[in-house]
Amino acid sequence: MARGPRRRRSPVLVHLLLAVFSAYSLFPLLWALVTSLKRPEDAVAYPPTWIPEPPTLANYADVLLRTAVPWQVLNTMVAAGLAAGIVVVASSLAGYGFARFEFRGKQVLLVSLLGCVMVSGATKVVPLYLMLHRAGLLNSLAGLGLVYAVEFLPISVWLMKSYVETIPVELDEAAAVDGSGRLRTFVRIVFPLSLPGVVAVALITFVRSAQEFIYAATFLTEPAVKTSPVGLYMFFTELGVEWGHLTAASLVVVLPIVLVFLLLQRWFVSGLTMGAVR
Amino acid sequence: MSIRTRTSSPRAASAAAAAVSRRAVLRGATTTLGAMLASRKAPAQTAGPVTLTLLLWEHWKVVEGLQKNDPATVPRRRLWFYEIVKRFEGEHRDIKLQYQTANWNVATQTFIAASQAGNPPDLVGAQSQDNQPLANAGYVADLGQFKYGEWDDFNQAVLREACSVDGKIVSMPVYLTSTGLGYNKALLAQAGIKEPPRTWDDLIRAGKALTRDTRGTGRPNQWGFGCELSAASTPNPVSFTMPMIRSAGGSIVDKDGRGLMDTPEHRRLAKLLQDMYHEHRILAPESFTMKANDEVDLFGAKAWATGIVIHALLPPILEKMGKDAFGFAPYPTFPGNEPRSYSEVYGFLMSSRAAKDPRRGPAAFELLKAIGSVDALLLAAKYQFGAPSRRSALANPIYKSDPLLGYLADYTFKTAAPFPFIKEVGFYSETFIEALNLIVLQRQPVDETLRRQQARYEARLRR
Amino acid sequence: MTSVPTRPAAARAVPAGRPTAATPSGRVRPRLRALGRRAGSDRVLPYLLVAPAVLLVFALTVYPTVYVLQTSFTDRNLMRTVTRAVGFQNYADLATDELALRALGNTAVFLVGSLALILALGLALALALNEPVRGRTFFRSVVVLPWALTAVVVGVMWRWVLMPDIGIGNYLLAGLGVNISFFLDPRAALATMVVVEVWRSTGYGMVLMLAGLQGIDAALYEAARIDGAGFWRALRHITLPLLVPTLLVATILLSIRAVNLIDIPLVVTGGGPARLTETLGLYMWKESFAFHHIGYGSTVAIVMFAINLVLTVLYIRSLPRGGR
Repeated sequence: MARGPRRRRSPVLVHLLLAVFSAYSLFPLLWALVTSLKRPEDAVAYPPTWIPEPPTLANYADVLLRTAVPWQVLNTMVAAGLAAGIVVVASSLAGYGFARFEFRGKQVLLVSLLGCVMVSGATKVVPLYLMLHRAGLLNSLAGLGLVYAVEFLPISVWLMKSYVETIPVELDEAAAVDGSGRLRTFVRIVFPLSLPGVVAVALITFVRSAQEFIYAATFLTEPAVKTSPVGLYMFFTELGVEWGHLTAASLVVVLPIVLVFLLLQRWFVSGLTMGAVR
Repeated sequence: MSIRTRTSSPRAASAAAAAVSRRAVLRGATTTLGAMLASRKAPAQTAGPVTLTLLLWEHWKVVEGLQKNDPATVPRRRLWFYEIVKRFEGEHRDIKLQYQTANWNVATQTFIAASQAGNPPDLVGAQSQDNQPLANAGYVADLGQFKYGEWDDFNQAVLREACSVDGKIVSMPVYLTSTGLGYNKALLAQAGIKEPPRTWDDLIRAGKALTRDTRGTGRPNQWGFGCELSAASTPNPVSFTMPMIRSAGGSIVDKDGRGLMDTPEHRRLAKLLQDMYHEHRILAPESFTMKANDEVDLFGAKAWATGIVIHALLPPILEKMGKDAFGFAPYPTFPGNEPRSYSEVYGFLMSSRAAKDPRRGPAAFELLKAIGSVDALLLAAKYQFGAPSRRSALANPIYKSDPLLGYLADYTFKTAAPFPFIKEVGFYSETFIEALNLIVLQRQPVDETLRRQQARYEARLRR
Repeated sequence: MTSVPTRPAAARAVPAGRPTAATPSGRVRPRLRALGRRAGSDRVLPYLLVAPAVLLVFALTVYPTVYVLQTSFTDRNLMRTVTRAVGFQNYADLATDELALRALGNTAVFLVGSLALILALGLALALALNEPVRGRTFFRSVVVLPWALTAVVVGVMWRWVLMPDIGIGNYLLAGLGVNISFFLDPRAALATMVVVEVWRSTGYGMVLMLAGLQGIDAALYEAARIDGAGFWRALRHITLPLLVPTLLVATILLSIRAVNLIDIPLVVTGGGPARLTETLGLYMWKESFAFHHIGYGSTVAIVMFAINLVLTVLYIRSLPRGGR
C-alpha cells in the first residue's frame, strides 16, 4: 500500500502540528463533556468551571433511559448504513465503468452527475417531500436512506472514478490475457485494489447522512422513526436549553459514528512495502 | 527490517461486516415496513373508534409517556397536557389518539409542509402569531361550526385579537404567558435599590449602579438591563418591544395590517436603546447575540441584573436561582405612561381536512373542548405558571395559593395584548430587528435608518 | 502472497519521476479500447455498470431541480394556495436587492477562507497521518470527531463558548486582557463562521486526501529516496502531481458545500448583527422558510447553482491536466 514521502525531519514537528490541531478540535468537545457531567443548575454557572462539582451521571442516565435517544441512534444507523451500502455498490460499479470504458455520452453523464450536487439541498425539500409522499415513503427510514444515497452518489462516483484511474491498466490487461471477463476483472482485481476509495466513499456517506438534519426533520414526523439529529433538537425546549442533557446526548450520539470510523479507517493504511509481494 | 502485514484477512472482516449489516437491514426493513404500514393507514372510518392525529411539541419520550401512562418521561411542564389527555381517553373510549412530534420552533413549518401535501395532522398546538397565516392559507378550520356555548367565558380580547381571523375562531386558547421586567432581587438590594424601576430614567439610574465588572478585567460582565434584540431570537424582539411602543401611545401596525416602524414612538424607543448601549452603557451586549429563552441562563449566571422576560420562563429561572431570588414587575415606561405587556397565547387548531370529515371533526372538537376547559387551565397554572384565558378560572383559589401566580394572572388579564396580525410578518420582523441592530450596534442615525427600513418593508408588500 | 491487496511489482517498472497512475488520456485510451476488443462485447456493459448510480441520481434529482427552476418563475408562497407565474420578475428583484449583493460578497469571503484553510490543513493532516506515527488512530479520530457532530450541536457549542459575557472563550481571553466581540463585530463574526466551519470540515478534507494518498505507489518514493530527494522535493514532484485528481474533486466538493451552506451560518451567527454576515445560503433559507417566499427563494437557489457550475468549470480548467 502507499506511503507518504519520506521525511528526514524529526517527527517532533509532525507531533506538534497534530497536538495543536487536536487541541483545537477537542476544545469545544471537552467543554461539552464537562458540561454533560454537571447538574443542570451548575451547567451555566459563572465563572465557568472546568471541573464539575459535584460530578453526576444523571444526565447520561436520563438520556439513555428516559428519552428516545438510544432508539434514535439505532434509526440513524439504519438510515445511514442503508445509504452507505447503496452508495458503495452503485459508485464502485459506476466508477469502474467511467474509468475503464469509453462510451458515448460518458462526458455528458459525468458532468450532469456533478451538476446534480450543485442544487442546494434545502430547496429540494418541498419537491422531495411530495415525491416521497406519493411513493408512500414518508416516515420511512428506507425512503430517507434512499434520499441520502442520492445526495452522495455523484461525489462518490467521481471519487471512485478518479481512484480507479490510479490503478494501472496493466492489471486489467494481465487479467484479460488470462481470459478474465471485464466484470470478473472488476470483482477480483479492481474492487479490492480500490478499497481505500470505497472506504472513503462509505465513510463520507455514512458520517454525513448520520448528521443530516433538514431532510430528516421534514420527512420524519412519527417518533418511532426519528433520527438523532432531529432528536437532539428536542433538548432545545420552549423554556430554554437543557445543556446537561444536550451535551450528554450529543456525545452518546456521536460515539457510534466514531466507532464506525475507527472500523473503516484501518483500510487507510500505509507503511506496507512492496517487499511483501516479492 | 520487519514487514508489517495485516494479521486478520480482510475477507473475514468484510464477511463479518456483511453479517452485521444484513441484520441491520433486516431490522430496518421491518421497522420501515411497520412505519410504512402505519403511515398508510386509511384515515376515513365509518364505524368503530375514530383515530385522531395530533402534532405535539417534541420532548424526551412524551409520546411514549402518553401511550404507556408513564409521567416519568414527560417533562413537568407538559404534565398538564398529559393529565388532560388521560382524562379525555378515559371518558371517550371511542376516540383513539395518535401522535406526531416536531420541535416547538419548527412545528408550524411541519404542519404547513404536511398541509401542502394534503396530509396534515388533525390537531396542532401553536402560538397565536401563526394563526392568521394558517387561516388565510386555508389550512385550519373555523371552530364556530361546532356547537359550543362557553365562548363567552373566554377573555374576549384574546379570542378576538389572537384566536380569530376575519371573525372566525380558529384556535382554542389554552394558557397565556406575558412579558415584563424580571430582576435579580439580591443584586438590586446589594446596589441599594429598594423597588424595581418604574420609568426608563429610573432604570437608567439603577442600571448604572448594577453594571459591574466582577472579573477585574476592566470590562463589565454584569449588566443593568437586557432584552431579546437579536435576529436569532426572531420574532421576540418585535413582541418584546411592542409594549414599550404601545405604552408610549404608539402602535406597530396600522388599521390595514401593515407593519409600522417609522413612527415617533419607534424613534423614541430606538434612541433610548442606543443611549442605553453607548452613553449609559447599561444594555447587555448579549441582547444582540442571544437566542430565544437564553434569559434562563443569563439571569442564572448573573449576567443580567434586570431584563425583559416572558413569565413562562419563571419556573426554570426560579429553579436555578432559588424561590425568592427573582422578581417580576411591569415594564418601565416613559413618565406619565401606563405599562403595557405582550401576551403569548398558546392554543390548539384543527386542520380543515379534519373538520370536513363527519366523524373526525366532531371528535377533534371534543378534544379541543377538553384542552380549553377550566380544568386544563388550572393544570397549566400548576405546572407552567400559565395565566388563564378564561374568566371563570380567575376566581379559582389556585391563583391565590401562590402570590406570584396570582399576580401574573391579574397582570396578564389587565395589561397584556397579543401580537397583532401584520402583513408579511416574517419580513417585517427581520427588517425591524435589522433596524434596531444597525441603530444600536452600528450607531447609525435613528430617523434615517427607520425610514429606510420602513421603505424596504413597504417595497416588499408591493411585490 | 499476502492476504492484503497490494499493487503488484509490475507497477515498479516505471523510472523514478514519471508517474504512471492517472496519466493523461492520451496514453490510456487506446489501451482501454484494446481491452474492450479483446474481451468481446463491451458495448452494453459500461452502460449497465453506470446505470444504477446514474438512474438513481436522476430519478431523485431531475424532478426536484425542474420543480425549483419552475418555482423560480412564480410567486409561490408557502402560506398561500394561489400561485401566479411572474416571468423573470424574481430575477430582476434579486439583481436589485442590496442584501443579496452583500450576501454574495460574504459568501465569497467565506468560500475563499474556508476552502483554503480546509484544503491546506486537510492535506497537512493527511500527510502526517498517512505515516505510521505514534497514536495515529487516536489523532485520526480526533480530527474526524468534529465532522461527525450534527451542525446544530456544533453551532450551539461554539456560540456558547464565544458568548460575550458568560462564554468560556471570552473568560479565558479576559485573563489575557483581550476582548474580542465574536458576534457583534461583523468582520469578527464572519471570521468566526469560517473558524467554526474549518473546525468542522477539516476531517472531511483529511478523509478525502487520505484516500488520494493511498493511490500513490510507494515504489515511487523509494525510487526518489534512492535518487537522494528529500521530503519537500518528493512532495512537490511526486505527491502533489499525483494528488491533483483528488485535489480537484475535493476542491469542487468543498466549494459547492461552502456556497450552499446553511446550517453553520444559521446557528453560529444567524446572519450576524443586522444581517451583515448573511451568506447566500442563509439569504435563500430566510426567504423560503422564514418569509415563506419560496418562489423568490428558488430564484436564489438557481443563482447559487449557476455560481457552483461556473466555479466548477473554472476549477477544472485551471488545475493542471493530470486530472483526467
